[in-house]
Amino acid sequence: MRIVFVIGFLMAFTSVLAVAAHWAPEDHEIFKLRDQVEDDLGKGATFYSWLNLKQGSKSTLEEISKAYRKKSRSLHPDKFHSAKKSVREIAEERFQRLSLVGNILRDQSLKTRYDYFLERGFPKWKGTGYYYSRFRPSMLVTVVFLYVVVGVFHFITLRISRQQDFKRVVQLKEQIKYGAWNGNLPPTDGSSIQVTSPTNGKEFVVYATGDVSMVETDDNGNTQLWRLDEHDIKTSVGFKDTLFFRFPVFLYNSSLGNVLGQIDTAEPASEHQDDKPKPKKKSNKNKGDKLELPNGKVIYGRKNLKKRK
Amino acid sequence: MALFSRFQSTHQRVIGIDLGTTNSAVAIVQGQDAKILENEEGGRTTPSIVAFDERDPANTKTLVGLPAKRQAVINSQNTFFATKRLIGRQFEDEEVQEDLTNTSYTIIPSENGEAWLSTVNGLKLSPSHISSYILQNMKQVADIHLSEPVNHAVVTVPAYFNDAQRQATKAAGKLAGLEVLRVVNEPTAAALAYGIDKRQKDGVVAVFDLGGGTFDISILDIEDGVFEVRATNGNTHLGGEDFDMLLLNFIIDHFKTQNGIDLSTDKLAVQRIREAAEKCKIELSHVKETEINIPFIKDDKHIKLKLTEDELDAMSLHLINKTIDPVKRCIRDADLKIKDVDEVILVGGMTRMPKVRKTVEELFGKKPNTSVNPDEAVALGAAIQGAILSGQIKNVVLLDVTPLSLGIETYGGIFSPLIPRNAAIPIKKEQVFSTAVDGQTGVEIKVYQGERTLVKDNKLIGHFKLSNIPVSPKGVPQIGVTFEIDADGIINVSASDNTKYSEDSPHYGKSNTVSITVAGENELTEQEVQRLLEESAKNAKRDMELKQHIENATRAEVICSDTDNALIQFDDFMEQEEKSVIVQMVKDLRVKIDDIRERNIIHDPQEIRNDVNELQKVCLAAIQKVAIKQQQLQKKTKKE
Repeated sequence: MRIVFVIGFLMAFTSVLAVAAHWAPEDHEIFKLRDQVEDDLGKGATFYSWLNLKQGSKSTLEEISKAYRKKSRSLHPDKFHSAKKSVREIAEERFQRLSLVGNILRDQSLKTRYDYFLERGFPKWKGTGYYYSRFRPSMLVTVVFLYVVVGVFHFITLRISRQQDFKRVVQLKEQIKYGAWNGNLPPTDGSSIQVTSPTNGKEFVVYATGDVSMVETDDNGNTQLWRLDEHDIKTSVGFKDTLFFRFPVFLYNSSLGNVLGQIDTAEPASEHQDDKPKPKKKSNKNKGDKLELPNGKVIYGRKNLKKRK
Repeated sequence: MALFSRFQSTHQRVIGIDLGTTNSAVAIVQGQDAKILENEEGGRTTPSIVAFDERDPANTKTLVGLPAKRQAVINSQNTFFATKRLIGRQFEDEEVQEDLTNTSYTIIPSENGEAWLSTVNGLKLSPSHISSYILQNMKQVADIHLSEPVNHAVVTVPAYFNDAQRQATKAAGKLAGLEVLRVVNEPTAAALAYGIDKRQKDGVVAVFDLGGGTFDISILDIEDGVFEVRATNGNTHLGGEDFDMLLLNFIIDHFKTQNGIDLSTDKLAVQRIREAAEKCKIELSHVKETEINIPFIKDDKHIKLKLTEDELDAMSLHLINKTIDPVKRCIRDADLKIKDVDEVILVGGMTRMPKVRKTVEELFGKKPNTSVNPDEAVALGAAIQGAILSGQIKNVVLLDVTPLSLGIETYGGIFSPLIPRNAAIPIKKEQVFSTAVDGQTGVEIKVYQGERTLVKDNKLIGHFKLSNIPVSPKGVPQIGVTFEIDADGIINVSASDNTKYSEDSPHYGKSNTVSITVAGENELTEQEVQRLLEESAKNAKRDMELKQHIENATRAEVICSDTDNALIQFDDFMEQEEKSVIVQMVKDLRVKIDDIRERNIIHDPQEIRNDVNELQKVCLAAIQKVAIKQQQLQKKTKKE
């Protein structure tokens, strides 16, 4: 399900690229010329700044013509006729650019196009065409972006599924308590009642405190009591639960980790428990104590079960 | 040190040549002023006429300019004039076909279909070759004036010339041993000559250039030493020659209706009428009425008819009206209104015609500026451009445009323009081409110049083949083809492979292998040019001497045929004795002329000159007697 989501996302991503690649030939010419002018005169140079037009796009046709002629007088290749060939060639190319700039700024429709891009930013040449940078991130950016998106997605799904689990446990407990007490208040003598769930046939022990434990018999005939506590389910998802953390750790563990020592992704061990302000959120699956029931059965309870006793 | 070297550096001398259809001129900038250099005969312009001697099988003897013009009547089939109308053109072109019947010399198709010329001896010449003789002559004029050889020149062409015509003009310069630094448009050059004068105000200037063979209109914005051409238009086959032909045909028709004789097949007669027509046209620019007088045009028939200015105007109205459309288009292309034009400059001999002036005045709503000399402005402007290039003149720059749109043939013969007309030059544009089928390794590109929507109506500039394209699926190769128009208005095309190859491709990171070749190139090869140059250098000295002798002989020949005419005309009034003396003298002189021309026997030029003077003296005396006799006869008839 997640894979489908990722592929769908990638497709949406590439279709943006395709849309961005459609420019009119005039636009192409403007982009190319603008890149050449920047290469020649340095970053940030515009057609207007080249012609020393302080007014920028607000310059009038007459001002542009005047400025263009003034610039031509100093840049025309005729001025460099007796210079070295290399100098002459540079002068010629520069003038060719100047006359194209003159053409664009003095043609109303071309000037409008140029001004539009000047205001909103120019796309960049990316080897096969002009694209806006934000539509064409590098491979690394793409991977990081996807990683973040998938991480967030994972976080959300994790949270939703835990909330669902929480609700289910609460519901189950209510259902069993109802069955044990026949809808009445808990027995006053404080005794526990063992009932069988009508829905799944499992046995449960209902304490007078309102706690419910599931009775599980393993192959050896030993029974274990599993306390049902909805608060065991962490409805608030931590950073370490998500792929954000797990994926790089997994990569590390399955590569360098084999040599340098694994990073534990499991829930923190119990010795940390005392340091934690909310111990009930921590699982204590394997820490139950042995307990003999009056009926002779040996059960392993959970720590907090024992505490309560 | 820097100061010292600046003093040391001398600017290279660059002459400006106006290579006109009917007349050419040469100028140079001295100090800050351009001036016309006068030719050997003292003329400020030189007729663009080149003649070969029909009795010289090697065709080493050529006459250029006035001497060539003088002998045109007696050597019409070997006298080439107005060949600029043919330069860079195909034989099949409509304009060339029109001229076929109107010229006294023979136009032939060359191997690759260009319009070439042929002498009576069968020597085949390109119009470029003829132009090179004129350019050489202009160079000699400059060499003599500057007492040092000049090797650099700026040559003018009509603004509306296409790439082929410009290339051919540049080739002519090369053949003449000149390095053509720049090909400048004629109206632009004229505007330079006008605008360089500090007394002229800046503003929008229209140059109306109606010359011997071509018509150009250019609109420039002159501001603070910057001459920016806004737009240009024209017709490369409209000029004084068309007016001459009009008159020529009029006279032939007139003669036909009067005498029932068709003169159009008689090359000699056509040449004589053509000269008379040109003379009549020029006269009518100054007087209201003139008389065309050509004695003995056919046997004892003469041509004698009166023509008024109004008649000529009416006759040539359709030609004059041909200038109106280009003017209007040019103003439109320049994004201007008629009233925005501040000054109108007239260039070219035809603008002396009062009707042309009136048309221009009506068109622009103002009197044309007469501060420039219509015959000299172009050459002066070319010299100024030369001085700009040599660094002699600073703070002046010319921003010219390409007159015709440049484009390529796309699917179905559609012309797809890449560089629009009136784009400032030099200019460069790149177009990316790809393949249409998998594995295609070559792409053909046909480049055209013109304004029509179908390529067949435009001029094919070149046929380029991209080959060695690496094998890949269709549409993958990206071949960038750069189209460049240089400051001469000449087109260059180059190609490069822009395909992004993946790293595992054998072509990755390798220099591009795509090559471009021009199919059907018309230019002379480097070797041919070299051979022609060597030949001309070797023969230069001998040619100079021979030329003088031949000129001498030609002058004598002209006198001889004049004398013959006079003898026939005044036959009845002449005394037999006198007549036989004259006939004998002519006979003797003719032998000497033939010696020079055919048998390469060199007579002392002085001897021939003496003979000619003697003949003229005797002749004059005889004719005076005839005149007295005629007067007496007239008196007698009056008395009776």
